[in-house]
Amino acid sequence: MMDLTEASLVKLAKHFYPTGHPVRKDEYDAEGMLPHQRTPEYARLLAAWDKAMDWPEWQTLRQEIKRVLPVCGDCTQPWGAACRRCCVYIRRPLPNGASHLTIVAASVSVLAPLYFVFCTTDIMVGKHSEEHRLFLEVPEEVKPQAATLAGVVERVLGYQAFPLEFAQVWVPGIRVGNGNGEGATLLDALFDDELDSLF
Amino acid sequence: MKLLRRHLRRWALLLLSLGWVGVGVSCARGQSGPNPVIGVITPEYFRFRQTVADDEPREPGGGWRAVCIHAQLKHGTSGAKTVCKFEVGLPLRTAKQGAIPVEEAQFAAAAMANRAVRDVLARAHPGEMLAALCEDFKKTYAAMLNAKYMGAKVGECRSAGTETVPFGIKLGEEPEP
Repeated sequence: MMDLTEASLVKLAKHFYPTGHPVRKDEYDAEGMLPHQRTPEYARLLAAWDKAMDWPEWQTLRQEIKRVLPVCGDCTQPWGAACRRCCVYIRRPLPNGASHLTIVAASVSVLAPLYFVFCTTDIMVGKHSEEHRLFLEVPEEVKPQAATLAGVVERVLGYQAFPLEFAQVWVPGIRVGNGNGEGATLLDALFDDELDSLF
Repeated sequence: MKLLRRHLRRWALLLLSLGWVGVGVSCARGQSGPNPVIGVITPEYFRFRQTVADDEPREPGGGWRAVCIHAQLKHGTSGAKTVCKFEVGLPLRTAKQGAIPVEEAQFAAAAMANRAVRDVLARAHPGEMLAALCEDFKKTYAAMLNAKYMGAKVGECRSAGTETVPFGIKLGEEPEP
């Protein structure tokens, strides 16, 4: 089992993301790489993604989810964020042709044996979202699906739930996503800095 | 659908023939001061490859495609070269918009890249280096693309299995396709 303290999670984030190296000038090497791309942390992040995209247990997980939920689409944004994701879609009609769409995601970190389940909701009018919201803790109406996803992830992968009380802990200086070395939260680093972009 | 694709293609060609001229700063190493930059990136450069299979046809969303573009900038007189590398990733299918045909994805990716470049150059400071402009471009472009296609990503070229496509811009000259 992982040591889920704030200090250990910060150390984990720093293991995969270089600190500093803000891009202000053209410091390309002969291969066109910038300083932060030449760090061991960056190499570890890419290696973690390579492993996660060639991961038989991920397919096993999806098969197991399909035994208990109708289907779970692979909504991973590979190499962009730090998690593989499986999404469940729940749509209910609203008056005037609109609909309420909830996307529940089992988000599995590619950096550590950690997961968390979250969701987004949209009021859809045709193909347009009139109201978009992100829930790190899922609302009551989709708790059964979220609990099912969590249960399968723990059983199949043996992963632990990410302690959400540390979600907003700021790790100064690390470069995550399109950040420029200003730092990021633990949730950004270990899962995704654009969680609300479920599709 | 065929009609829509033909329509998009026609607009793409029209855009290509018009080109764009942004008056920005020189991005080449050691250069400063305003320079006219002429060139458009066209849909054909966005040669997406599938990196996550869309293997659940019963689900409303899933799958991923990506391409890595190396926008090479060469200064016409000094020959100084710099490059802005960026990866564009898009879902194959979303719950909100359904399947995104590849032609539509290519057109949107190209049109927004050109718009993002214009916006970035318009607000660039004299003497600002290409690397910094490239960072700004990726953020601007990502926001535009994500507003159209939920889930779209623009960032560093990292994905395995994508095609790397060079795109040459010469300052003050037309691009070479």
